[in-house]
Amino acid sequence: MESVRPADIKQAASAQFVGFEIAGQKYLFRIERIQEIITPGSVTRVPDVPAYVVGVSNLRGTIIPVIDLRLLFGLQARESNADTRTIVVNVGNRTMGCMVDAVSQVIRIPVDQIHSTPDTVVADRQRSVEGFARAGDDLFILLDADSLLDPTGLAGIHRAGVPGVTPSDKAS
Amino acid sequence: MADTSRRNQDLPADDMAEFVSVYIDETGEQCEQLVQLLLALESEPRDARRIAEAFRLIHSIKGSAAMLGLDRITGLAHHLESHFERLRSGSLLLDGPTIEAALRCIDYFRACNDRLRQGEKLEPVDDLLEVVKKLGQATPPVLPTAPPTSAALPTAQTTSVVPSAPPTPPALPKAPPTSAVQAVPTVTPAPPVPPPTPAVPAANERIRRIRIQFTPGLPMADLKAELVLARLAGLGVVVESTPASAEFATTSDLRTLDIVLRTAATGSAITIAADVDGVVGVELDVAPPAEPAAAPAPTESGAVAETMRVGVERLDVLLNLVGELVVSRARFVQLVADMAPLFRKAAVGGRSGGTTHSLREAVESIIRSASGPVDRAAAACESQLEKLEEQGRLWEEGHRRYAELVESVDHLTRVADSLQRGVLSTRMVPVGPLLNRFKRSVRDIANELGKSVTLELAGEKTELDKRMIDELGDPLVHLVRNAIDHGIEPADVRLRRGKPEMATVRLAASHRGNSVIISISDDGGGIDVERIRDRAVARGLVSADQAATLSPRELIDFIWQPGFSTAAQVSNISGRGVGMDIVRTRIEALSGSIEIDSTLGVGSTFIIRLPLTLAIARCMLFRLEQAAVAVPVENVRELVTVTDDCILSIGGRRVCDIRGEFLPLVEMDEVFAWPSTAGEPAPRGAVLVIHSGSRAVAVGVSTLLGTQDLVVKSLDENFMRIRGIGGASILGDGEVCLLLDASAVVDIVMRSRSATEVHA
Repeated sequence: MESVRPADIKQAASAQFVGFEIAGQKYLFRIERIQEIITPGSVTRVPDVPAYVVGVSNLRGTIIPVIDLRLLFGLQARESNADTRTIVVNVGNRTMGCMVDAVSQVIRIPVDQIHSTPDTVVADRQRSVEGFARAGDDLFILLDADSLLDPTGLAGIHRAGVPGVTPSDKAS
Repeated sequence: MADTSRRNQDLPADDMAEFVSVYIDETGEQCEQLVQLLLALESEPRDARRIAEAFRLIHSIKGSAAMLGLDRITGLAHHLESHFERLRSGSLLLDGPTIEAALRCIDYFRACNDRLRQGEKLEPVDDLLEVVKKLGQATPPVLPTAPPTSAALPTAQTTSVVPSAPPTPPALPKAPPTSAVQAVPTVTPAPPVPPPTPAVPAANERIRRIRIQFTPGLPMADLKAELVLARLAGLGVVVESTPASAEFATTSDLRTLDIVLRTAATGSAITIAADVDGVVGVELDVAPPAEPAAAPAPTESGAVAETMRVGVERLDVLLNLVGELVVSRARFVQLVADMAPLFRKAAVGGRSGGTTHSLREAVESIIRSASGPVDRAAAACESQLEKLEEQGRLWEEGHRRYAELVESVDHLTRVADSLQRGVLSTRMVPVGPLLNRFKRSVRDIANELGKSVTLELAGEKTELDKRMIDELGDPLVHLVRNAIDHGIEPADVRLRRGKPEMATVRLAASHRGNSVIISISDDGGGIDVERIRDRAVARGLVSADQAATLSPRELIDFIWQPGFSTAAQVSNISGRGVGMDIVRTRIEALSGSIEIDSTLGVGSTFIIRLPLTLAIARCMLFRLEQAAVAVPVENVRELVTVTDDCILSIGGRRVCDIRGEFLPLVEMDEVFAWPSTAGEPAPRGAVLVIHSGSRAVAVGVSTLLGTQDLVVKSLDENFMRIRGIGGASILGDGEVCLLLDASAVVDIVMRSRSATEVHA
């Protein structure tokens, strides 16, 4: 946090984020989208869904889907450990759980420190990447929860049958 | 279209928006009552009480509309009201055109309601207004010499439709206008004293319901009752008395007398008149007794059971919370059950008590036999023993508390159960209004088709979840239309077949266990299975050879196929795109099923079976390797153990022989595609016969967990719809279990059979 001098932090021009980690990469969700962060409870598997949908879980009487962001990003699955968390995210009027390797911190970042996606980065989930931000030594990828977890988008990937980045997407 | 004129003419100002929704609700109900009244009046046009009630309703609609500045409605209601005013005073007789016009007005009021809901401009109504204005001008006053109805407007007998039937019973004598009051259907004969006052209701007259209580065991109670009746008759007209005066002498221990009096007298005058020797209480304006189903809404003076409007969404929230409570209760019950072995007194308490005791004996014997050096060790043992005894006492305390906990959980269970039932019952409404709506539809459809149809209703008091009632309307309308259009033969055919010309359509509702059954029967021609056979072959659904082997039941099932119709020609009533397949889909969306029972030449019955409520389902629970799965018990026909020699494998698909019936068999794991299934599938423990309507499949399951009431939760609210899974529920330990949608599972199994065929 040393690079961010107090003078740079203007209340009106900064935003709060929840930082989390998947496979060593740090990501951010806007804090307004986060309902809560929980340790993963029991998850019931559901048939006929893509692999990244771990299943459904009981969040105080409401049934929410739990999505493994590792699998959504096309990475290898990993056993849960003490650091594994489920971030409960509100997308539209739906509530969903996102399993991540670890949740690091709540960070306030000045708006002018957030950079838009460079044109050179072309990936399947580019539309879900809102930008990049540097805080201290860490580089965060700011994710747009709405488009990342958009149910129609998820259903589309489901139909394609291949989670994550597909070769055709890379080629385009 | 200037916006301002819209506002001024038809739309209430913004701050009135709140009143609009109240208006819509109120007029909706009033229109409903009005339709029932009009239909009843159609066969009894002299029923003064119903005319007065109809007048009151129209007046009330006019008033509410005027308050909101809905001029078109006000104008129309005003002219209709004026006409009913004349009917009420007896200067005109209610005729067919009036009923027709009034029904059209109601249609307009309802259409207005729909438009108000959408915030749209109201439609002009000038044509209808002219019709209403002309009412009565063309009609001869009082008694018409000729039937006022033309063939285009047949009248009905309560719920029946008789084209070209005379509007009034010919036996009715020519009566002066004052007969209107006496024509009120009285239970009793005329009052003992002839009414001295003119029977034409004066403006300040009211209907008073009076309850008179006599001293228990009063001697000559019958004479006292006669006396009261005579005295009250001096104040007005006794419309009704319960018991009737003829029954006074035969009624043993006459304690209460209910009198309906039409009078202008004040309450105190009535009380004084009724308070004779032996009377212990006079109660004014008591609630009217429950009226028969066809009776109109309570009269203006009758008190109505107190009700209030509550938004359905509030009830939904409440139901959800109760669902939570039920789940958490289940959790408590399970915890208590889990704790039971820890606190079982004989097992644990006894053993620890015994251990402490024998330890103490051992220590004491050591102390007795030894001396000096063991003292310290013995003292240490002693103090440890004391601690142990203290533990024992704590355990005792714990056991006592545990017993209290068990009791509290029992209590919680009882309260939660009653609360659940209570909240569920707030959503339960009688099917009566839904069925009553068909009186009008049947009348209209039968008129349109020129058929004579009586509608019989049964079980109107049967209650069903409000949401289901709302969703049932369309499917029922379709089935009723279908019955009249396709089911009922033309009059000449009926006569030739020796049937009464007047056909009967019967709508009946009843409870059966945890289900509600709604049946739609007609005494028409029944379903011609041979015609279905031809149609099915003609449409290429089956080959002619296959068709020849199909049973009547299998053939009848074809009518659920999209676009399948056996009607010789498509009329403008049936065959308008809403097929029977839609009816079935709608019913199945409500977790219900529909079956047909038909006999050629005798008639058809469609039987709809629905769960009592959509919120809670009694289910059979299974554990699969991947998840706990529940099937509603209504869809479980049986649970059987099947030996391997009862399973046949035919061309890659398996069939299971259950007492001579061959059903397709799959394992529960195979019904769905599960992500990354590992390991050997668990051995089949039993075979579950799941059915939906008349179709059944056998599904192998490994571990049966038991039967449980589950609160049905939506899976697609936060997630998505998965074919074959109707929802989810939360078990006692917080685990989510998946609720199967039986009809979709049956489809999947049937389809997978054909898929296997392709792969094989």
